[in-house]
Amino acid sequence: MIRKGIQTGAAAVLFAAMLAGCSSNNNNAAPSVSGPASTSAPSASESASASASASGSADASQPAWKTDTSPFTFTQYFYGNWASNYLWKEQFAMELVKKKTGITIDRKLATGSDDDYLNTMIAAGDLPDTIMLDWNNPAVTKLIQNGMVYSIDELIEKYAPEFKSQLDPNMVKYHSVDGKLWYLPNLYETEDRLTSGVPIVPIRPWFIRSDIYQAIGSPKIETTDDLMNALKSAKEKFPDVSPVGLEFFDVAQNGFHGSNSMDYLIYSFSPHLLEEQVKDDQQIVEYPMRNKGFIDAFRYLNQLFRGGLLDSQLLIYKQEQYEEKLYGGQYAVASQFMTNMYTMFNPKIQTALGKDKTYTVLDGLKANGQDPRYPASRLMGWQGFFITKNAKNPERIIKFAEYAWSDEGQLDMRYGTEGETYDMVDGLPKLKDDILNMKLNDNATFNSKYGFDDSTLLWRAGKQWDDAAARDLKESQPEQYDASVLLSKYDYDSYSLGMENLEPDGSSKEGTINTKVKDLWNKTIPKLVMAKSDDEFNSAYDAFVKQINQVGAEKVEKVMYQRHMADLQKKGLK
Amino acid sequence: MSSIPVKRSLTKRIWLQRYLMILTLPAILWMILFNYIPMYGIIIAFQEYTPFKGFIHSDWTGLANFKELFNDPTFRESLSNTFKISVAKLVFGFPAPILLALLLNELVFKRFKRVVQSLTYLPYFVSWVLVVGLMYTLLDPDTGVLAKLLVKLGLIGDETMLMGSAHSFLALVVITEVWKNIGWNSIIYLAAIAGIDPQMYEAAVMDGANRFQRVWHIMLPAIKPTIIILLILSIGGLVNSNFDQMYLMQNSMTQDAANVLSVYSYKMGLVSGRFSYGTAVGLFQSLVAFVLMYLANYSSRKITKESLF
Repeated sequence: MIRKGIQTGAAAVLFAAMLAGCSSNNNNAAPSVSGPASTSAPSASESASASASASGSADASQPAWKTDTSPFTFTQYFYGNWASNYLWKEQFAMELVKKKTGITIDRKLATGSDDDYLNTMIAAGDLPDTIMLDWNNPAVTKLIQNGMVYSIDELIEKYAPEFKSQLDPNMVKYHSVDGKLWYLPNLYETEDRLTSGVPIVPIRPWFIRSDIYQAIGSPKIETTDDLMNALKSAKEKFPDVSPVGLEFFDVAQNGFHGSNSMDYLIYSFSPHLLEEQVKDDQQIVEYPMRNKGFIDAFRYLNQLFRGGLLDSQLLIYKQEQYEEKLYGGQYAVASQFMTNMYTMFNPKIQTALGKDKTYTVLDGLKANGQDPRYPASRLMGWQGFFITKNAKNPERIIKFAEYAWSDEGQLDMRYGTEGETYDMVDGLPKLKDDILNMKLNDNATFNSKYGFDDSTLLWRAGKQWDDAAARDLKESQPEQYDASVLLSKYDYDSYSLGMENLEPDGSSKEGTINTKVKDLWNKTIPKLVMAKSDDEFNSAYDAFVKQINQVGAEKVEKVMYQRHMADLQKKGLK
Repeated sequence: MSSIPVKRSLTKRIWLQRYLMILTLPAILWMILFNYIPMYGIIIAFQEYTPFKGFIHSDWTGLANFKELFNDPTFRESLSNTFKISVAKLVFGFPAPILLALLLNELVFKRFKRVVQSLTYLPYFVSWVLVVGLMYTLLDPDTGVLAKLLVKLGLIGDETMLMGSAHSFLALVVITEVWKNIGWNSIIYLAAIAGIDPQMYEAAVMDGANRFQRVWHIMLPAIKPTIIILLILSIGGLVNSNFDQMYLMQNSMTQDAANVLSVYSYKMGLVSGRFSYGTAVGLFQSLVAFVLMYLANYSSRKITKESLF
């Protein structure tokens, strides 16, 4: 009798647990309406004082965001799974935004691949309140065409009309789709960016390990042949060190150059690549893989490989594996993002292995007697700030955007509070010395404590902070500043070429072909790099060209020409 | 229950089994909720699905996705890769656990048997992410211990990139698959062997059968039904090459060999956001799996009188 009771009980419990599981799932599936209320509850008192002070100084001319500073949380997906620094914890910059506006951003990152995560959200129609997504990502068209996001202009008109005058009309013109602005792009730079601010280095520079460079007699490395000779002597003297290190290869992720490190070679071998791609007579923009100089850069890699100077492992390495070896100073010549080399790798190498093993930047390389040319357009924007139709309170969000866009919001995000975290020096903001030191020497602590530059993420162009950044770099990191100046002398303004965002929309017919072309090119790169002879290289290349012609590459090239014309038009150049 | 010969009414039988029924109810609900209801989504394979319009209102395209599928060389490549890999896995991976079970069963020293059994099924619990990570480390031509050992043994040349070669890909896939699953899969055979009536062995010994004859004439026929059913199931799984393993083991040098149906479906559907096309690939895969399993079951019923359904 008792046993029977237990059996029934157990069965009932199991069943109940199952039902409970279902129902709680359902609750989760619905956008968490109760979320904001519960998370913002603890800060109620704080916001009460904030709104009190706001209403105290209320007058008709005040910005819209000041009219309501009650606690409010909205969700945001950030496209970029690496961005754990951008998550809102208790950092200074985030707390400042919260204090002033009452806003908390519940920012989320993808756990795996970003495209997966984003596409799954779109397919399920389960979007967060806002999205930060690269403005030229193929999914952007999907979001707009499916009516999943609000038009920013409409929201501005309705809730924050004075915000409109703060937006750069050129930006609005460039980023509007079908006559409407669907997102606020960050890092849209104005024309004077090329002359003010930190010198632009549009490529991944290559570096050489200082002690190796000295050991081989500090030869001049000015041409691609010089580099090859230097690598040969490096290999003789240091047989245990890998001669060349390159970042990971993946065409889908990095674009046609395959690895970010390739730009350095490509613009040496093909200094006029972008101009040469445009064929006005045929009305096409050619794939770069049809360009001789572009392919010569890969031919150069092949020569390195055949000379035993390039480890083919690099072709299958993940970025982490490469970086781990770089931290160990295991490459004679290595490529890395400028800032990362000087703020992450060199400092760590210096403490672990000694200063002599840190890396020194290489000058741009001449190939075939020509100087390199680096296309340095001002940025047309990095990510767009989208407000989705799922947003519970678009009014608060657009008002928040107005705050973030304002000079006040920009300084709050970048520098914090005047007198507390920064001072004005000669009209430019400057972080307090101890904070600046922490930023340079202990970036991780700096990020988790202050979170400057990480809060609203709506970086807007501005001479004040551009100049401040240039001054800081010059003063506190002279080495990196000099390196940037060294390489930026090869820059040219590619803005007027109209080569922005050319690849066709991913869901279109041409987009499908483009994906196939990328896939084929991705497979071809290892074949080219590891070819055993010139003949093998050429036949692999010819086979590739034949294949992309078969899948219809020319159709994509036509679309790219149309998009090229559209880009010129949006810039007001045609 | 089966020992009661009297035929009872349905309600009576349900009542008698009420506790078991309640216990199975969550599982049935789970099946309906997570396996049957989502099946509705298959219809997007015949549409140009746009999330905003939803399942019902998206534009119908008929068989356009399937037409494109069969004209796509990458799809054909992934299909042939899938079969190549699955057949190799079946040929080497299917008999391996049977052999292991037979060998383990013949061990007299019981503690040793238990140790071996535990060690062989431990890898089953290690995730593919870790396994492939280990492979990259162990097979690195510069620093990998295993790669160095293989070079010393003269099995591979110096500087061979095992993880970056389409030639060694198939072998690595099969070896790791067998290594990972052999112990786990042998458990079911060991259980079947344990169920054999000891009197049969005793009778065989009386008749003068040696060890090998006992295995051949008693043990194998006794576990034949188990073997057949598992074989039918694995034939049905021929088109489902292990996604985790393939996805993790592919890189720019092995992608030609590693592009299998499930990876292709994932790339098309989720990575490039062509939901309908990706679903069409998946649907095709399920269809082939079903046909294969049905054929295997049918021929097995005809030939050996053993079958799953």
